[in-house]
Amino acid sequence: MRLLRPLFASLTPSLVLALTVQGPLAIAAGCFGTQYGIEYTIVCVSRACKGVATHPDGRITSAYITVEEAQQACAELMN
Amino acid sequence: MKQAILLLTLTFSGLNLAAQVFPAEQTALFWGPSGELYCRQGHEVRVEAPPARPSLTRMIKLPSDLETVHVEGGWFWGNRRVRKPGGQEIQVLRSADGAHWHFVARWVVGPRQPGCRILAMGAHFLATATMATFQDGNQSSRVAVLTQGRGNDLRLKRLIDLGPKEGPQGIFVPWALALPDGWALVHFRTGHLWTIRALGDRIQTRPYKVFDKVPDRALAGNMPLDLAVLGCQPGPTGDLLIATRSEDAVLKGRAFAKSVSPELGQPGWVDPELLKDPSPQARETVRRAVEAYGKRQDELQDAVEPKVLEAFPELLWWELDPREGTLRRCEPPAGAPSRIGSLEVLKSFRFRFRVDGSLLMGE
Repeated sequence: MRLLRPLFASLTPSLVLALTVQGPLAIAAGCFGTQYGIEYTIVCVSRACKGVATHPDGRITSAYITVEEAQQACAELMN
Repeated sequence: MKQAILLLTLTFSGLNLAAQVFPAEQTALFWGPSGELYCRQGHEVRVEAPPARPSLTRMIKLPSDLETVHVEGGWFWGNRRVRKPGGQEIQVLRSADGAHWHFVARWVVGPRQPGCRILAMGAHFLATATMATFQDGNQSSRVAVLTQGRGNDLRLKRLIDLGPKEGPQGIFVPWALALPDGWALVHFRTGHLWTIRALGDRIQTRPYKVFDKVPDRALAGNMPLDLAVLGCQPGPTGDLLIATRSEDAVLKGRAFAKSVSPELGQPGWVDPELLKDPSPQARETVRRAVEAYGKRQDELQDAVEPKVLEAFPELLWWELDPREGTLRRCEPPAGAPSRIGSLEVLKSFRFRFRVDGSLLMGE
């Protein structure tokens, strides 16, 4: 049986390991957490940052975001 | 740990990221009362002085824990996030010289008081909420005017109506540009703009839209658009100079990229059992898979984006007059391009004014 899952484009390897090892903690390359029922994952790589939102109804949306957007959003998620 | 993996696999399971290229980070410009120009990049402010006031020229190092540093009413202002047991507060600080800062007021983040950036605006403050809305009865908005009561705490004075029924959703950090009597907020992804001005006791809000064909529902963030606004700066007269892609580029660029390279943005795959496996071999396998996937997507993007630019090379210039409430196309300013020649040009694109009002590209 091969149960496969998609991966982030350009996700830094250290981030994958940090997330899987440490759990939902704020980390240097990004962050993730829940805000108003929406689960956010934000990662930054050299070119830009990416944010993924999992909504309570199951919708998953994603977008490239600027460093400033990532900084502000991570400050919220780390609250 | 288990929850983390669950969340990871859940969030990864629907990923389909279309590549997008951002221009360089803009220099924040603020015009001072004596005609001086404050140029903030990161945690440094360079003050350019007019010929009549050469002594105003200086470089200022800002405290590293200050965010959203701006200049208004002859003062430097900034936000500082302070974590406290049970929550977070955003402090508003003020400085006469940029070096010595003093506490002015606080916004306590809570269930009905979202985290936000706080900008000085006359006797009040303008706040933009990053991920939630300000609430006032049954009404809500991502932007509000805050006011300081007798104590140090800020409170909601009024919501700002952003106009379209479907307001901004998701992460909302619009560019905030200083006007002589308020702020312009620029939703650079869609080309929606708003000016919010303090005119005596009255708060005037005006909405603008660069492209008529970009629907207001784009504010919800779920339309595949190319970035609309590449740059925007306040000029010495208080007007804004805006650089954008063409309407076709914004509306059709992503679809064109996908037609050229269907693999672009398609998800990669890894066995989730490997993510659960702490052994060095499994980690190395995951690392290699991620690295290879990321490299492939970067290659695709590097190959496709020049073709998108070739198909939609136009660079349009606009002037927004906040006093008259007009937004109109204009000719490229002297020395400014009318086309984006390459991906490198796009990535490094930015501009600002000099203190004499002339335009400086690339800084």
